[in-house]
Amino acid sequence: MREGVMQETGPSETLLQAPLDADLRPLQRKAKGTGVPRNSAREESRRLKPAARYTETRSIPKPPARDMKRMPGPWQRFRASCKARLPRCLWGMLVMLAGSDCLTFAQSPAESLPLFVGQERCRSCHASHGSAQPCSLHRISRHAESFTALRRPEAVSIAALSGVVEPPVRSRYCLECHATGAEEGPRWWQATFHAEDGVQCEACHGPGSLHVEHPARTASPYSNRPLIRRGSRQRCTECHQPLPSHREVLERGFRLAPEDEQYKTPVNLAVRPDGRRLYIALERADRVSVVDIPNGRVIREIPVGRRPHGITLDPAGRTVYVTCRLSDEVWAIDAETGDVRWRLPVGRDPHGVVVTRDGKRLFTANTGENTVSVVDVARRKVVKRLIAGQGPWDLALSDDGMRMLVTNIRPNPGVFRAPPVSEITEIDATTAVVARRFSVDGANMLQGVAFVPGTRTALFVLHRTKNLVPITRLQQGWVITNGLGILHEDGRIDQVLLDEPVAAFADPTDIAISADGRKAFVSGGGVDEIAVVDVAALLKFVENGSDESRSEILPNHLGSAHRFVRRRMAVPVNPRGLAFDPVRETLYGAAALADSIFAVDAAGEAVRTIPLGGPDRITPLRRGERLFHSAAVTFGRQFSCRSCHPDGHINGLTFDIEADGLGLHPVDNRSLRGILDTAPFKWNGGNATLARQCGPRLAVFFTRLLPYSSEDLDDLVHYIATIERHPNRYRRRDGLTPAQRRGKMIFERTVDNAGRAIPISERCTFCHAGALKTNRQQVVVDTAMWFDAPLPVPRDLFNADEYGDLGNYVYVDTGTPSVPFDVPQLENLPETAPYLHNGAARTLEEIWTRFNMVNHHGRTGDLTRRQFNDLIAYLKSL
Amino acid sequence: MPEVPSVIFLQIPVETSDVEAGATDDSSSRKGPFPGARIVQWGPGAADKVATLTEGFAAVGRFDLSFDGRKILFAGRRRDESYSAILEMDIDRRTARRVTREPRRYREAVYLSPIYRFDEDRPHRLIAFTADAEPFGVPVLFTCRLDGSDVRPITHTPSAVRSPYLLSDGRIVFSLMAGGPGGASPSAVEALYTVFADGADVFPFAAPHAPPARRSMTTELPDGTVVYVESRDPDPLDGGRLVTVRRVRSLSTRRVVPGTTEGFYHSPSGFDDRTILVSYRASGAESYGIHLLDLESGRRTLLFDDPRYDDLFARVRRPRTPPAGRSTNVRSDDQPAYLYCLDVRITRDGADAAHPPSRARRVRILTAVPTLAVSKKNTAEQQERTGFASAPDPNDHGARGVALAEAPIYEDGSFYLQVPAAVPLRVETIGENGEVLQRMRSWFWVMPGESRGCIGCHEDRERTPPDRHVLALRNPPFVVPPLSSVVRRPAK
Repeated sequence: MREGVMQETGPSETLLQAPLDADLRPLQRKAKGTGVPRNSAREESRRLKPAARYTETRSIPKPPARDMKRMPGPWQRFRASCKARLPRCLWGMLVMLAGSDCLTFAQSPAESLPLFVGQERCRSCHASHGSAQPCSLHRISRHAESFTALRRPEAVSIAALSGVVEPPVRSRYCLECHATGAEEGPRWWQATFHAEDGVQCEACHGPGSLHVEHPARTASPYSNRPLIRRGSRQRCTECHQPLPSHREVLERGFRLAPEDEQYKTPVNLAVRPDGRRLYIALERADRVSVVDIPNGRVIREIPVGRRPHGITLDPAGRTVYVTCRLSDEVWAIDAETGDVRWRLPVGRDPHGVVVTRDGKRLFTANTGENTVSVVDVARRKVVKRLIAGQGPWDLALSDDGMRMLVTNIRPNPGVFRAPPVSEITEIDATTAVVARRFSVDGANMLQGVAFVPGTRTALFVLHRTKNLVPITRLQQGWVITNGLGILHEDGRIDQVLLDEPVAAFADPTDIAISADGRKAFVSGGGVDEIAVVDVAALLKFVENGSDESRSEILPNHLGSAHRFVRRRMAVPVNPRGLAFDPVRETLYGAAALADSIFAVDAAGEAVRTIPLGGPDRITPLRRGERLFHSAAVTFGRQFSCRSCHPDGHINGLTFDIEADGLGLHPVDNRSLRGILDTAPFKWNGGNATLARQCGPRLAVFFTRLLPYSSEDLDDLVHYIATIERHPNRYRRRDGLTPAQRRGKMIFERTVDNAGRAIPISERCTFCHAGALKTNRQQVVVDTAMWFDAPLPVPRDLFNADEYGDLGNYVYVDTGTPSVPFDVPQLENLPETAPYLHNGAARTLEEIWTRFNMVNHHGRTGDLTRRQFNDLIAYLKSL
Repeated sequence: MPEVPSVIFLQIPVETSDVEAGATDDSSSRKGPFPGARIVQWGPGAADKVATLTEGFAAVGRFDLSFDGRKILFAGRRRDESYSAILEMDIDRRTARRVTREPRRYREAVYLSPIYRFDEDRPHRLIAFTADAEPFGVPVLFTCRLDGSDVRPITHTPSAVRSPYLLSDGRIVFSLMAGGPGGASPSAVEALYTVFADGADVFPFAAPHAPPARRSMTTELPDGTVVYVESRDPDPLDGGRLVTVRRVRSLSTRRVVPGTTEGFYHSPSGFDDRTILVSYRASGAESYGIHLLDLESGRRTLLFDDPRYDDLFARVRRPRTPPAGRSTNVRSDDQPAYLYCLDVRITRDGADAAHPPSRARRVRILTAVPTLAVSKKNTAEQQERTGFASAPDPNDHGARGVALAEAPIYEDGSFYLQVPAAVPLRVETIGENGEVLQRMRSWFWVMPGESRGCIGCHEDRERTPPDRHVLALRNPPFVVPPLSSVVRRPAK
């Protein structure tokens, strides 16, 4: 059982710089030991290793004593004293030992890392020494205006198509090309540096503080790391490449419509115990709407944090709690006055929220960090973070207030190409500890959950995705089936389907149960329907089944829904959150893409709607959003785009798509957040544009209905492009931590720890370049496995039970042809597991510790543990 | 009586029906075109007067109304022509244009929704029609574009196909004789199957293993109820009782419409949610007349009857929503076809202690050849060369099975084959000692480029596949040779 307090997973902040310092020692010794002039040694090095001419390595002159005096800090002083006392060879050995983690030095790493000084500081020297031309050119070039370009009106539309939610002048993604030093962050800027100066000298040459301190040298006296970088064409092309988001706006004239900012998008709602008020989380509007139920009118809107999602009230009905996904907070609002009482950071990407019966504790499901936060309401403090499954989504509290269940949308990491197993986490609400973890076999996308009143049995919605079966047909539920899970009091879990043959109930999202426990209502977000379930009939149906039937047949049978689904009734577009009002015996539901609330009477007959005041006009972007969430594009309405991309993200599964061979080429699902500028698409980079990716190919191999019309496709692509990037919670507001900064230097390094030049193609930055960390090309990095090879697959590499050690398969088979893959963007990596094209790597670390044995996916074999941790820390910050 | 808008129907002279009923060629009597028949339009205020749409035609068959309600599509033969064609007529202008060009024996035609093929630049609107075709000489379902180009057969079975109808989900439902060309006998089983417009994913729709009867003339109501005619008693035009199923669970929701077991009902079509237009002839009566029928109560109301004609296939003239189109990767004929099964042990058949499916070790793949094409010499030669025996099937009157290959079944019950495309196929599971454990009862086919997956053998048709990465799919497919490499045709 896993339980405990969540800890920051970043590496230690006191790591050593020495391994990098040791990099060029062998090369230097060779040059000096052979008596060859240093320049000749450099030429020799270039001749023998053509790639090395890009490494910007230098033979380093002995540092003058005055320079040493300028270098502050204990580590420098220690090195200086050693250098004075020890023979050179002994010093070299010491450094080598340090590089192998045998020594640890206490030192503030920030002191040894260069800072950005700003163009004025550069000009102060270069303007007076005959090298003023670059500065002059810069001042008259558009580089100097690049920052101000972000203030133009078009920039907002470009940012929207890049998935950027903040103003462009504050977006790291925009600033990485339109300014300097944005990735490192303000923490690494000297007082003389101003981001508003646009693309400055240091954008190409790197932060210049060490160069300013040691103007006579080109490289650190103790390191191969140059004090100032030589500009390269690659640096230019990282930004100077046509980006689809810019083209769409500047060439095709795309603009956000005013209404796009006015939609409400209600996603969840809560009813006050007296049945007089309804509180609705408006995701798009960043507000909470208050509806007077007797009058059926909106009486107030309360601004809250970014992207409110979960909402609930305390048992007395005095306080409304709402989670805000993008601001990672829970807000407490006075239910009567609408005043905000307090707000509190709770965890990454909080979704569900629930209050204990005594109102003293608040639980939030933090989808972005796989935890549940426990908030002491009186102290307004997170007192615990409990480890949940993967992507905790919704919570439900039992009648007695003792038992809390948490659903998780993604399956737990497991054996490669094994059926998904998701988790229901049970928490003892009184002690706030994890009590049990239930495995839900073969299921994913566990979302809404509710207890049957008066019992300890709970119902939850789920997908049963057939991701291990090739997507070859849609009849008979061959791709995704949609259903209900039943968690009995004794811990047994049953699953049944809400689908019928060729009439699926796509995207079951939430569930609410009537006060008498007789009817359960399930929202079908993809089919715009509510299913009314006879709870007693459902329980009787599953309990009458044999063990084999309950484990094998019922979860996979399309003919059982009629036994317990009494009605499927049409409701407004994209129903999501549900709440049952016991006072009026009425179900309320949030129609997210209709900007309305619908009410259904207890008999499940009549439906009436309450508009929430969104625009009447449906903009192209909104049309695209509706298409994205609609299963009408699929034969039998079996699934929508959202079925695999909840919140525009991933469902954590690997799929077998027909086009590239049955059983072969499994491909991991990729996030859609900020995807437009990462073209080409598909893991083989075969689709140059999003329109091609979502066009006929999608229809032929996935939905099997007609492709989107060109107008629909345009709208859909524009909507997908606007799916928001989530803030990276591993990145501090003031920029990279020292560990992350060191990781960045490893990421950008050009020589390995032994001083050998790293071939360009094996450098991280060769492929993962630019703001999005992709060169948008297809490369061979030997991550292909035998089942990625073209037919025929060698039979002797096949293990009857499992795939065995995938890493070995890669390299034992000398006949495995190289397969190029699209270079993926590195965006919020901690939230995109599993990794690699086929999802074989369960963690970031496994990419290199299991699947990079020949160092073709970056030169990482020589990294020390701490360097490796720094690299991982940096990657998590992207 | 509800107000009745304009209705279009087919009138077949009673004498012609009787003559055709006695014909030895069964297909002409049931599938048309019918000599002397005509398509007419009848308005509610016109009393017994009808307007003939097909002046100048010697024979016409069942028609289909276009989605906009302005045109009809039918098989017909003009008086001055010697062979029939599929024609499309503008109802108001009374002008007909020929759609098909090749000389065939055309039977029936229906409009389809557009189809998008991966190797084409845009979707194309299609029609489907039945016409006699080789090698089995039975009606086969074809598709072509509205201009008659790109004709493709989409059914590949030795049994006769007839009565196609486009369901609201884009599938084509059709009647398939289980007994081949001789299936008109009273003991024949004719069931309903569905197929997509590209010929892929043929699947039973209703009564695949029901008692002997002929099932045809399907129609769907707005609420998803599908009505068809089940004919057990002899009737020259295949009239019978009415049966309903729900489109979404057609295999499990069969219901006989009350009051329709007496007399003969024919060619139902939707009128409103619970009422249909249907032709009815009382037992012993001479001709069919058009009635309104309440599906709940079985109450009939006569709308029109001309005793000189059988008034059939009545359709209300009004626009309707086109069903969803189809995208497909079924391409040209040179693409391979694949067939895989997840677990042959998954079956709904009762446990047979002597032949449990768990004993299956190999799978035998058979194809159908016309009976005359297989000589004893060839069978002996084939057996000598391949070790496989031709498997005669008592249910097939015009075809027999020829074993193409035996492929391995993996430990988890899976198999994976590359099979000849667009030919009749049948699969048998074979035990350790060569005994046949299970045998498919009907023929199916896999289209070029199609990858057809099966869950098990005779599995519950409402069951979804288990989520397993099966062993067979970790290996290359077993290549099943085409018929030409197994059996030589007899010299003429």
